[in-house]
Amino acid sequence: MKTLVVLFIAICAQVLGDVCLTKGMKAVGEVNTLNPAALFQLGLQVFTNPFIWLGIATLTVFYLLYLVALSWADLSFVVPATAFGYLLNALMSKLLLHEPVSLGRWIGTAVICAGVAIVSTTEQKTAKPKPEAA
Amino acid sequence: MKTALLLVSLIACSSLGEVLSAKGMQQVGEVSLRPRALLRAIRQMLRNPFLFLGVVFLAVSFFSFISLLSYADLSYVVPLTAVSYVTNTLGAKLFLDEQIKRKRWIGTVLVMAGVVTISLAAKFGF
Repeated sequence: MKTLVVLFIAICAQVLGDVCLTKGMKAVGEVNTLNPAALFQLGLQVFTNPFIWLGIATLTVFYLLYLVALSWADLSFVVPATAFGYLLNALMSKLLLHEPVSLGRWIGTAVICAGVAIVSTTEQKTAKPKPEAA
Repeated sequence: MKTALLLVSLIACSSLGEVLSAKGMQQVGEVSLRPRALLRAIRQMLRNPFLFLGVVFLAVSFFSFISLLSYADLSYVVPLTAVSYVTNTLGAKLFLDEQIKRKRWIGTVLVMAGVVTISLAAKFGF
C-alpha cells in the first residue's frame, strides 16, 4: 500500500513538473537556431525562468520518490504502475486546461488503467535481496 | 539511419538507466521515510555507482528523445517508445532476478497497448 501511495505522489509531481517545464519553454519560445551566441542567449532565458526551476525541482522530487518506491518494489511493478500518469494527464487537460480529449485518447487511457490495475494486484517484490556485504 | 540510431539509443538507454537505478536501490536497501533515515539513505544514494550510471543513461535517453523531437513527430516517436515497457520488464527479469508471472506480463502489455492507442488516436484523429 505505501508503495502505491508514494508512487501516486511521485506521479503527481511528475505531471506537475512536466506542466511547469512546458509552460517555461513556451515562454522562452521555439528553439530554431544553432548559432552559439543565440543559443547562449536562449540558455540564459531558460535558466532564469522560474517555471523551469520549479519544473526541475518538482521532477527531482519525482525521481527521489520513484527511487524510494524502487527500494520497496520490483522495477517490473513500478514502471507499469507509473503509467497511471496518463490518466492524470488526460484529466488535467480536460479539467484544468479545457483542452478537448478525443474518444481514442480516453479509450487508450482506459486500457492503460486496466493494465495498471492488473499489475498492481501482483506481488510487489519478487527479487530476492542479495546477501550483500552490509 | 540517424532516426534508427536515436530510437535505439532512446529505448536502450532508458531501459538501461531504469535497470541500473533499480540495481542501485537494491544495494541501498529499503528506504524508510522518517526524515533522519531518509537523509542517510539519500547520502548513500548519492555515492552509489549504479545510481550514478543510471542517471547518466537516463540523461542520454532524454537527449535522444529531444533530438528526435526536433525533427520527427511526437506521434511517431511516442508509440515506438512504448516498447520500453516490455524491454524494462525483460531487463528486470534478466538482470534483477525479478520473477515475472503471467499476470504482470498481461498488465504490462495492456499498458503498452494503451500508450500506442493514445498516440495513434492523436495521429489519425479519432
